[in-house]
Amino acid sequence: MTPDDLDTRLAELPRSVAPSRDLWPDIAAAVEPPTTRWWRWAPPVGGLLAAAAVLWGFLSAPPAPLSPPDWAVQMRLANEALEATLMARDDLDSAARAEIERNLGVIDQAIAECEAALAEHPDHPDVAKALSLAWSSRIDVLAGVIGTHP
Amino acid sequence: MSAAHSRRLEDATARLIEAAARGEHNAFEALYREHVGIVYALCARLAGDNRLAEELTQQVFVRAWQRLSGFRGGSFRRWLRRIAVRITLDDRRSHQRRRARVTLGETDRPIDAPDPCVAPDGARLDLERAIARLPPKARHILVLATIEGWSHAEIAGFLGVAEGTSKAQLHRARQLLQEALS
Repeated sequence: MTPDDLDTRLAELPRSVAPSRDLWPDIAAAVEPPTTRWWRWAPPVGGLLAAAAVLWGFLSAPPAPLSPPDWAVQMRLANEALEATLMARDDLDSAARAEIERNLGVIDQAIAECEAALAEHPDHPDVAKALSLAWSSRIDVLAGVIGTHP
Repeated sequence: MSAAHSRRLEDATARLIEAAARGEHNAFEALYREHVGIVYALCARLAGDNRLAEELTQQVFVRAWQRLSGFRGGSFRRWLRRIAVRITLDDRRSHQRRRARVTLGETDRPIDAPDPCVAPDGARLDLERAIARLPPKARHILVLATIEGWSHAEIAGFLGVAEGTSKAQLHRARQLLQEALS
């Protein structure tokens, strides 16, 4: 093998290699106090169903101007950043993108309904919890796709 | 990727860093998902051991979380990679100290060859294995100089060796690789 051959092969090595397993759960356990992860206990679909059930009683009144709490703003921010990260990828085909956007659309509708309910009942803990679950579901969808397309 | 997409990605990363520095775990998870591949690849090549590299990668992200408030902008990837280099080389030094307490006088030798990284072809697998089997110092300098693109001055400063030592180790590493792959 010549030095040039070696240079060529070294240059072709990928800069990014996926580990054999998801390392996040152990990292999360190290950086995140368990009490702050209460919303992860519920699976995403169950979360949306819970949100829908809670919303049933709040949707009769028209929504008032929205003023989301700080945590909701942070979750929206994280979602926007995740979505931007994902959509900037050039390894997703149009069918995959369409599927992702369809799933996000369902969740976005739940979020909009939760936000409307929260505007009407800003101090109701179940509404806040439903909104948090909906945002968490959205994060799970995005993070899941990012995680499976490293 | 278009320039607009690149800018959007940079903006997204910057916003994730800001949110994570405020304690937002979801944002930090997104940063992890985006960067785990480059950190793991670097740790695996420096350590020469994939299982150890997974542990080191976890340590890198925990350290990054602890120090996020000290991130002063610039390239997040570069910042993260320097943490990875520091943690991997520190682990190597503590590994040597542990071994020295057990086996006095043993010369430096490569740690066990790893299981293959994700290896789509035999040629790349051979190269990854050959790198893993290099003597540690030569492997570290080869990875930093050739794969990570560090200058000899940077390597010398980071490792606390003379630039000439860095160049000599790189030359040795390349010779060993050529022999192993011939």
